[in-house]
Amino acid sequence: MSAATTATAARSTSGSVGRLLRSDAVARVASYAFLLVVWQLLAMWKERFPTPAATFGFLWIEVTGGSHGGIVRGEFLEHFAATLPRFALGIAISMVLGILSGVLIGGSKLAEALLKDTLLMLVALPAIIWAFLTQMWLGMGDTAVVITTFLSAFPFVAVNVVQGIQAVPRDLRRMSGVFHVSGLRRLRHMLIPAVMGYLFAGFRFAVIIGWNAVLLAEWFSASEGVGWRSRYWYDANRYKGFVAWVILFVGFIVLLDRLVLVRLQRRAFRWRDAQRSETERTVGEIDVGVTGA
Amino acid sequence: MATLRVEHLKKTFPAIERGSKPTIAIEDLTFEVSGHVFVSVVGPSGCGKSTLLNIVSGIESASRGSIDVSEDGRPARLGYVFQEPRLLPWRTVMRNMLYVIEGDAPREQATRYLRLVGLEDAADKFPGQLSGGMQQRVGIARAFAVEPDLLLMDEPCSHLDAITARSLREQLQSIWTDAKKTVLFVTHDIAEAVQLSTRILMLAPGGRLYADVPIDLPYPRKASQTEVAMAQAELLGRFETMQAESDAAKTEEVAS
Amino acid sequence: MSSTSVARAPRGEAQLSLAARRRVRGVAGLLIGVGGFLFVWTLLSELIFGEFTLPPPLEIGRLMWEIVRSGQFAHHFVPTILRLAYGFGLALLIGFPVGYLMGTSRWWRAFFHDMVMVAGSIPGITYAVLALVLFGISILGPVLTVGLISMPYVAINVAEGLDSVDRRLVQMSDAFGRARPAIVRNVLVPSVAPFAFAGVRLSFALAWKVEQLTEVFGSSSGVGFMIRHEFEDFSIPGMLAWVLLFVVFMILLERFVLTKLERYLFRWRLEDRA
Repeated sequence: MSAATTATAARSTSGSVGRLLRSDAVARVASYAFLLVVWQLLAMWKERFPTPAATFGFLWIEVTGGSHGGIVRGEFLEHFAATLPRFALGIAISMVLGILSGVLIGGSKLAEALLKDTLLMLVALPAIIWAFLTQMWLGMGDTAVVITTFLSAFPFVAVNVVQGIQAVPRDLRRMSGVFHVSGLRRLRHMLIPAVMGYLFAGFRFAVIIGWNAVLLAEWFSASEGVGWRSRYWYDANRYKGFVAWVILFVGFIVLLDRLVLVRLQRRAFRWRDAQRSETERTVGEIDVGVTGA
Repeated sequence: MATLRVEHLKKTFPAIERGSKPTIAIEDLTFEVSGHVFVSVVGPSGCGKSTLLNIVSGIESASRGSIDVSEDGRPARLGYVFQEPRLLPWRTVMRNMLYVIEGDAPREQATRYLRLVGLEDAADKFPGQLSGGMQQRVGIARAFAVEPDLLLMDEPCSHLDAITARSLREQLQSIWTDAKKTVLFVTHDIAEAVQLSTRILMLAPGGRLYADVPIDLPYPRKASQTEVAMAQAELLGRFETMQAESDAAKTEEVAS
Repeated sequence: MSSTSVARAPRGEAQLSLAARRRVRGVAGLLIGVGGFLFVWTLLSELIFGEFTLPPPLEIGRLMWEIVRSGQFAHHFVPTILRLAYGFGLALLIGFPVGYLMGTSRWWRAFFHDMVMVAGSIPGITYAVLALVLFGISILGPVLTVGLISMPYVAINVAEGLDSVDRRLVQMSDAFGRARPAIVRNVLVPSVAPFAFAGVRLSFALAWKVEQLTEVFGSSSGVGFMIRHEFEDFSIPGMLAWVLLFVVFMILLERFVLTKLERYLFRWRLEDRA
């Protein structure tokens, strides 16, 4: 036994360095370093493409105001302040209309037979078509952006609501017919959490797809905002500006998703996850962000 | 045909939890096998027979002692038949054979051995299309087809129903008499061992060699033949004696 | 293999077997669904939006037929599908090793985790414009976009599928002296392939939408290009015709071709032996 411990003691100094290198934190640092290197090489290969240094420097100026003076006057706040209300409004309308149509289609066999395929067709349409259509219908402006956002997102909400309603176990529904009032109250305690989970999944879809749709819509139909600003730099051939804003808006949605949405989703699904196995949950942790074009 | 020499083999598994003792799977085993023989290693579960097979095949390593498997001085080529067929489900029977056969004419070789187990018509089927017994026969054909010097079999009939197992045993005898290999066969079924083997090594719990019994009966042997039945009865008796002795030893150990 | 005989009623004119009945029900459901879709569309077009804003189905249908008849659809659909196929090929090419590393090593899992997640979170428009900036008008844009967007799904599924590799088959290969690369090729890859395919199937709808966007920005052929062309011509009917043709085709492709392909690739699986 003592021979083994002396051996490990002798190896401990090189061992701890080795262990550090093998740690997860170093792996993540290495991955970002790797991406930066690839980026740099890409920039050196293609003249037009901005280098990391140029991009981050530019980002800093845009965010902090630089020549404009101070963060409050910086572009960052101005454009996010323009985009976020459109985004929020679009999501809100998606949720309302999505829940309404979802309840209709999920709850009625007739409605389902007639309308489910329409819904699936709407889900399949690329968002670009909405961006183009609203441009032709409404020209530029907030309305066009909001409408594109909501049209892109609401089918996904509806689909999730339909799934949620149909997933409610048939027994629960049968119970509601057989039981009296106190049973119904118990039913509500089971029914609501069950549907909440799907509702939340729909909400998450709406947020992520909605964000992508806002950016797309602003590219075509806006005169300020995050999507517009990135196009502004693109049109000016200042690609470091374009990429800087990409980082900003991708960073925004990734942070929103990871820090807020996934946490809320876990809480909403707590009752269901309690039954699930450990393996299912770990894979779910590497949840791929959902994008819709 | 190979020579297998086992000398003072010992295998311990580390303790599962702190405070409990390490498990001694094999205490101190010595024996030798060579030539055109069919040697069975028989014992109750926990006597280390599967461990022995794993060590001989190289899947596991010995804690102490030596295993020497050689053929005319060079390391022997091994064939292995498992309890489950272990065929690649996404390959046809023929392609499963080709997975392991090396040589100049692999297809002909594969077909020859498939014919020996009566399955040359199944060459283009997927394992999923065959019954359990047929899959196991392919497994046996595969093990023979690599033309090994030593053939290891780990309770190949234990997962089959009685009828299939019986016909498989008959086929094993015929393929072994034809192919002239050295076979090391592990089983917990004494009757099966008597029917198939030229020699039986009986292991007690702890991997101790309890008995080394030659079986001198002519082939082919059927379970219905009198001599076979008598030999089975005798060895079953010795087996049960061995069990009783080891149970008594265990109670002594617990009491002390 | 099945030896049970089921007493079946003789197939008279009025008798239909269970399978045929199911198929009839399926077709009827489809017709009703399509009918509902056309009904809603006509309603919106005639009563709410007007014929200019939302052209009625008949007009679009006529246009769609014209596009198909003239061969234009085939002419543009082929490049679109090819780019999609190449893109998925790329997704499998990258996704397999990434998934393998993620599934077998904690370090690599941490390494790839953020990259995989971000690749799936980048908006389609970003991919489209970046592709344009980097490659100009080229096939690389759509192919790389589809590849990078689908890769996370493949990688995650492969990583998950590694758990299902049967150790006993690996042991068998060891016992017969197979070398490590042969084991990877013959045991690992086929075990994981169904999972990788599922990854492709999951990302299919997303991939075609993102591809459309990329084609709008940076292609000189393909369905996306035609949609942009119609947009620049201010033709709402044109845009709608092209996008509907495309969407219907893709849905059919996904439902029939992909499932058939999956069944063929994995025909050795016992579950399919119904």
